[in-house]
Amino acid sequence: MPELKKYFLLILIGSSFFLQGCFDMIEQLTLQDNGTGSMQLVVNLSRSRTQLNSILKMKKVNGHRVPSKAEIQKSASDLKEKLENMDGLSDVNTQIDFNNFIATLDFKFSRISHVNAALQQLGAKLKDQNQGFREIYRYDPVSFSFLRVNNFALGVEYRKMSLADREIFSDATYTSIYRFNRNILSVQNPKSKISANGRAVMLKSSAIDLIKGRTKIDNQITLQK
Amino acid sequence: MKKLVFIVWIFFFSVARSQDFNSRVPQNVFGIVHYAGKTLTNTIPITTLDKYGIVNNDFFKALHLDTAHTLSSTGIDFSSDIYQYALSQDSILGFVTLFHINNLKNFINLVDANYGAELRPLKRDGFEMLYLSANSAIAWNGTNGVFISGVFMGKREEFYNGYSDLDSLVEIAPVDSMDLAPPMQDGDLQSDSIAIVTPQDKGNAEKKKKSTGKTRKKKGSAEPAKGKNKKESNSENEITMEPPVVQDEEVPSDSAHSIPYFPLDNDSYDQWKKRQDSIAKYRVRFFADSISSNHFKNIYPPVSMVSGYDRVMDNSAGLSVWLNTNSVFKLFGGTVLNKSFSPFIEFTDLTDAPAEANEGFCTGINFYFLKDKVHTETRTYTFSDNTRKELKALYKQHARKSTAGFINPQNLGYVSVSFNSEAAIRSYYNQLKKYFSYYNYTKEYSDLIGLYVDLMEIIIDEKGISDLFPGNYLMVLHGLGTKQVKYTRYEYDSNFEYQPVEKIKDQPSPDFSFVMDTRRSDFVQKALALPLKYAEKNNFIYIQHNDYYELKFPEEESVLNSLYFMVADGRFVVTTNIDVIQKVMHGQPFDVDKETSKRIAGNNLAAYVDLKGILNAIKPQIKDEGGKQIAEYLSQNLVAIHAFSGFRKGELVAESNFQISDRFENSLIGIFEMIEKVAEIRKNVDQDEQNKQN
Repeated sequence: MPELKKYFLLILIGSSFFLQGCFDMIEQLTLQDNGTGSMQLVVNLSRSRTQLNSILKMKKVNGHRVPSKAEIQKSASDLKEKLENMDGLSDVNTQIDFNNFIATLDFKFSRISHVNAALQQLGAKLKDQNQGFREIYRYDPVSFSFLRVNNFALGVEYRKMSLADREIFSDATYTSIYRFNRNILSVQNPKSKISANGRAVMLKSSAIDLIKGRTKIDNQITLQK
Repeated sequence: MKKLVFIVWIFFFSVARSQDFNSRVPQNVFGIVHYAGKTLTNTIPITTLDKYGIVNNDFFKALHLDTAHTLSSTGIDFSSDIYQYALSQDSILGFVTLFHINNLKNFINLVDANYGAELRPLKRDGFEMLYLSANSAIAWNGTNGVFISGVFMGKREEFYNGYSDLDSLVEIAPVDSMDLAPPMQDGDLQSDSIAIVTPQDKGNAEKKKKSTGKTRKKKGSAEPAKGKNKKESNSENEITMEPPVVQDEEVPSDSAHSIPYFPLDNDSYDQWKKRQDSIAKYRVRFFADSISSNHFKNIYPPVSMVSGYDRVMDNSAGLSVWLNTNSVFKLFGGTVLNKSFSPFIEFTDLTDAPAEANEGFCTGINFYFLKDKVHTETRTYTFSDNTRKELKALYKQHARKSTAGFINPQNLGYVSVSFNSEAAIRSYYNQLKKYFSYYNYTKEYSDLIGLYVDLMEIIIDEKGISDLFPGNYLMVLHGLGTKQVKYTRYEYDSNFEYQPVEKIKDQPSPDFSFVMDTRRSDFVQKALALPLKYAEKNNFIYIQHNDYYELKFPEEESVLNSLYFMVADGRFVVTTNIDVIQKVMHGQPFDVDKETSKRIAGNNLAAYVDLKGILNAIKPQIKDEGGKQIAEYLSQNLVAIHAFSGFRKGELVAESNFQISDRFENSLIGIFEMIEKVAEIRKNVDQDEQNKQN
């Protein structure tokens, strides 16, 4: 998927330039009882903004071509258009703040399976041969059970990278937040936390912990009936 | 008595001769690496080397020698000189290693254990030989050996994936004995004759050749090609070479539609690929035979006779590398590159030798492993008087002595470059003409292009350009500080609602100066004043102070606060450091040491990197535990790199010193110790992480 590759590339070169990975990724999903909901993905590169400002003026860094702001903007628009044309998705919005280097994607969905389909299609375009994007969310409205599955072999992919490229993950973080309109009965992932109002689950981890398997993304959340 | 002395002397001489590879290196090589065995093993004994993981583990793994763990048990004599050379011959890019054997039994054990008993060595005239893979072979006698590795670089048959152009298809189906080579399996050709051909096979082959019908006949029958190949093998190697036999599945059956050599199904590409691999393998083995045979015959003139070898190589150095840039550029960049150093890369036929092969350069890099530094001396010599004259004109200009005054004593590094820009431009006209007169597609129009280049020379004012940019430049890294910059993070409340929050962090901020000589201060002054007019309109801050200009960057937005520009004393200065501007204004240069001043003023290139200082500066920015520990260790053991070069006595001479801590026995041991320690740190950190995980 060229669009995501460009974002990744920007993260890669921005971070490897000064031998440190400084980005935060947030995955926020809000789910209603009937299975509709909204999703927001945020990539925050603000900690590397000074480097990225310099890098965007260059053509190549560490052997990677640097896309222009216009190219990144166009990729975001293309991505928005593609998602808008997918079944069950609405209010698709992409935003790139080049001042703070924060990219945001949000949309609404009518069924969780539509999110999976959208992500799977993205995976196909990314030539994701390992089917990492296949069915990462499951929700059973009868048992009120929500499942987050990780299909990516992060450690394997990480080991394939050069040492310089691995550095982008050294100080990167990942946060997932799942919100419901019912109280949460239990969570399976011991590192996830339940909010004070009992209706949200958060998992916060360093990228390295995820890659090395010290923290799992997988979680099974059971809601009160 | 005299007789006895004479015999002893002859004996000594013959032994000494047999102990080196003086006459084992062909003259057409483009690269030679010489390991001075005695010097190196005195610097680092083999028993010491054997203790390092990089040797007893990684080195042997890289060579696929899984059973070997110590150099001392290989049977190879590392205390004698080892040569490696690279050459292109018969469309093969070959890399050859010549080594002495001090324990034949160990050596054979090494080969047997790692390459299997099923590979039977071939007995040749005075030596034995083993094909190790499609690309490599090894040959040895009782005292020395040769390891040959080659890559076939010749043209491959085109792969046609269609029936539409049958005539072209006929054209691209060459038929000679080489093309009929079947895919070889490892272990093939393991006999005194290169190919094992049974009478029955031969009969089959003949049948198949006939059965290929029109395609092969149009191109010319297989018979002449077969003869040609035999002739080649006999004359060059004195080894009987039978053309390998075509296997059934490789030749399409005779029918009205049998012209296409490769069928259009999915297997056709695989078949074609298999065939090309087979040809490549066959050619590499032919090459290996030729190299090994010549090696044991001792037929070449002394290595010192290789062009420029003696002039640039010092055999007393622990490690020396000789390169014929002429051949290297020819190999990788086409015939013209060796003359023009043009960036246009085009691979040309290796067998197409340049007419003026002696106009290139040869370079020798000699490494000396001293107590606390690796000293490198590089000599580059050109065979062409014209090129030498051009280089002399190019490098006759040096930096002014006062240039060193821009270098602060605690600097982290600098690079000073000086050359005569006018001579560079004038030389470029010649290079352009040479390039276009040798480039395949333009040589026909070389006279016309020459005229254009002459016109260009008339129009361009070289003197004017060189007045603006005479060719003296200096870049100094005064230090690496930190600057506070803003960034955004998200903070979460008790219900995990997040809000963006502005934060401040320290960011590495380089403190540097760039200095360039100019004889057109008036022009540069005008250029520097120009942005004043556009600053407000374009929303940037550019201020004129008394004698200098300042470009201010937004607070907490950039790693730099300001860039200062000024022109003074025939120099254009760009710096982040206001002290530099003040010093220039008051005529008070930095008090730099004499050695630095001398190196800058006396060379065309002078460079320095304070490794320790840079590591200390970046250490706080390294986040991962392994990286931190490695940086800490290296900052205690690496010191600096000094490099300088100039044109002296008709040669480009470059010297460098890679300085390390003096706590090691010598620099070579120091390098191995550091590699070992870094690997150990990584391993320990990984182990700790693993333990935490468990």
